[in-house]
Amino acid sequence: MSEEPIEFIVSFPIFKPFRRTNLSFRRSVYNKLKKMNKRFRPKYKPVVAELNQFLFCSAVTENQEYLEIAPRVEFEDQVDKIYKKFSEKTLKELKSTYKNDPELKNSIEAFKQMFKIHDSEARQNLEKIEQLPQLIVEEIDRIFKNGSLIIWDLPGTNIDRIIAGYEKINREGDSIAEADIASVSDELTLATFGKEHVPCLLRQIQNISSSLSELIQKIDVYNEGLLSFLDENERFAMAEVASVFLGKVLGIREPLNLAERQLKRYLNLEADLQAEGANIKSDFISQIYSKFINSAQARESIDLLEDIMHNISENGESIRKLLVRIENAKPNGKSSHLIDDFLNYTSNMYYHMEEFRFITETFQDIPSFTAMNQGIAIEGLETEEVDVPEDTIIFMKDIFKTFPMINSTVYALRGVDLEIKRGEFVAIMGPSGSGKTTLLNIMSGLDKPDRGIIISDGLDLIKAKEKELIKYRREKAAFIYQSYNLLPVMSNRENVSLPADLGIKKDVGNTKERADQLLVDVGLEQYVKGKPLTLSGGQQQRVTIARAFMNEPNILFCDEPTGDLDSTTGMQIIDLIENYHKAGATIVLVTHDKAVANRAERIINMEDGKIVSK
Amino acid sequence: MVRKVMLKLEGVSKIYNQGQSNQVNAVQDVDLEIFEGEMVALMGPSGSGKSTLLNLIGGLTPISHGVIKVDDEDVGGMNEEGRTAIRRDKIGFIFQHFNLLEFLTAVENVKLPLLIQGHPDDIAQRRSTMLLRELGLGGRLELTPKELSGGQEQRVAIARSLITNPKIILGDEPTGDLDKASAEGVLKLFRRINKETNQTLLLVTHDQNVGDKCDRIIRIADGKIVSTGLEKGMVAK
Repeated sequence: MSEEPIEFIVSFPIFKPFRRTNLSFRRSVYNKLKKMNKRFRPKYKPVVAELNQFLFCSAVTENQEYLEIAPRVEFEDQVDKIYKKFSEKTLKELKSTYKNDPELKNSIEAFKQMFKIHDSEARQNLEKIEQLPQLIVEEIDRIFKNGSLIIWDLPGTNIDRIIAGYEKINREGDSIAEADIASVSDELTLATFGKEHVPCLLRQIQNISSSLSELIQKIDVYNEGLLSFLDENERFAMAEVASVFLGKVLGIREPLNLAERQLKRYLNLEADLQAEGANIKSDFISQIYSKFINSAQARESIDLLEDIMHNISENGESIRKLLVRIENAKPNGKSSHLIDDFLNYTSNMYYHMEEFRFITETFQDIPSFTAMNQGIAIEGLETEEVDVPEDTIIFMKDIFKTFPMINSTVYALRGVDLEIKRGEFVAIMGPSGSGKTTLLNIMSGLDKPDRGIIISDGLDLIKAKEKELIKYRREKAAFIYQSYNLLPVMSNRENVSLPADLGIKKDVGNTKERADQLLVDVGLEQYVKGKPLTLSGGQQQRVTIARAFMNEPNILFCDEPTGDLDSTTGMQIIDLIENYHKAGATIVLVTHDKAVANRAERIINMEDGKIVSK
Repeated sequence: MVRKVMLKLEGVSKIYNQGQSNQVNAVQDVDLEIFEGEMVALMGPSGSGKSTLLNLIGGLTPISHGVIKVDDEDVGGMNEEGRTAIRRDKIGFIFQHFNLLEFLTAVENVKLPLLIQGHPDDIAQRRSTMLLRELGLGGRLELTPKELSGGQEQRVAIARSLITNPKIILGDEPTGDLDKASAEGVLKLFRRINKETNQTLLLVTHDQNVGDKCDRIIRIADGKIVSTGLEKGMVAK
């Protein structure tokens, strides 16, 4: 029997905003995986970390009994029990979140008020809307249950076991080259999830599409005939229902956009897996996608949702007009015969639209899923020690940064590797929101990444204590921003000498003389005693440059230093920065201005949280 | 079909510190026409005068020379009262930093312009609610700006600018503070509004992605228009 290690990989869907619930789940899974090895060795420390909206776990064991199916099944069952407990808790929390959703609550209230005044058979639909949180949770439960992935990567020629959504997919005869499966486990995680998610989206989009066709047929009739009301109360209640419903119809395009991005992510996944398969010459991997996701369904969904958006756009005016007409109608003592029909129709379509919104919003992280070539991109995982080359001043590896929002996550950096040499002048470019400022903040120790290594001028910025970071920011690094952040009550000289006056250990000589010299260097000798606000924007930025160099920093970080200046003044500022670079300082400059970036020795382009070219 | 000119600039200049040693010609002798229903980007490097030009068009800053006509009304020739009326009824503004009132909820921010125009509160409330639902914020009506993400804040700001049905919407780096996904959402929204309501949009941006999504790009450098995007060989999309 082989003594080679056996790898166990498992991933489960989670709901990212429930941080506490997820944390306790992580701990339980970790403790379970640790027990795969009878004797714990650091080498076999399990990895348990969040990857997008999944908990991704892997463990390695030398315990050869897992070569047999029975112990493997037993272990899977044990892990699954932990997940079951966790998912029950998550679903309970989700149900309560949906129940308290303000939009749903307001809408139910509007329908209720209407039915108080005007009783109608459509009341039954309201009951269904009230049950929505329970029904959605049941749907999510189904998607979650079918969305877990288990992989046993066995040594030698043993057939690896893959269980996706409780279905064993590598039948006898499927040949898998050794270690291939582990390298695509992140892609497979998403594919498994899509197995139920894609059909669910298609079904919901079809429901909305057919309801909308009906609305389009009826909208002119409503616009003409729905304007007769018994009294002011009835008119008012109807206007509220119309506002709820029509706003929802026009607004369904937001969840549709989100669904489109989710579906496109699944379609890209197909290409990812094919490329990966070709890369490692495995037909099994190239074709594995179709075992999970029906691309035709994903494409059909996208076509259909584009039709819906087009139809709403074409009829937007009539839809908006209806509310205004109801608002302007004068009650005439007689209820329109169309009210029952309208209520029945709107409450039914409302149900479908709200169901769709909840599902797409719950899985809103899917489009940001990051799969890496030959590796696993995990947020919040510890990484190993590295040797940093001597001439490297900034070393970054595998940097991830996400910003959790109330109900969503912004994926600011997604796996950034970067080295900057001592004395280099580097510009970081990229469109707004590409992550360049976040990257600068992490390099400069102002922010910490979720995962990765960042060593700057010999200091590990992740492990460093707050005191060390302060010393680093005061003595080794300096900053220039788009806004000048000068203190208006102090003179320019005092502003410049401030960094040295703030209790630094470093000796920079007579601070007053040095400040004066720095102001001379930037061409402001006449303004030493003046105050910042009497200066132009370009002059104020010169003061900040002088201030930045007060403590003789090794690295200068600049965030859009010319952003508020005209092009000539901007270039003069870059001239000054370049002078300091020539004198030996390392410059890292974030800009969106190509002309400014061209002055650097190297341009790093960023897009969507990743470096696209160095 | 002759297209209606929604915005016309003739010889517009803005000079700061005129006659002094630190005189700045922020905008110089600009002629420009923007047609009804166009979605146009105004691009240029930092400090090229694009925001100044937008502020002149919006009547936020008085012009030094020239004529600006919004929907055939001469903004430059108006007194402050007239400019206020134009800003209130014909122009919607969207800023990079959203400029929402922090002590008001989302729906209160949106209905404010309607209340200023004299609409009754129930109608203002209902229309604002419907518009916020349309923009995907139906669940966030009662939140204050601080409780919203950047993308959501910008949507509230867009709703506030749309609620009065302005003829022209001026955006100053409207996606500048947003992450990629939120920025794309906002751009899609602009295109949708523009298509469905035939409102004219003029967006100042330094982001080529934004420019590419527009019908044409007007380029400005050092206070002068260097391209209107309509020169020979260039066709508006």
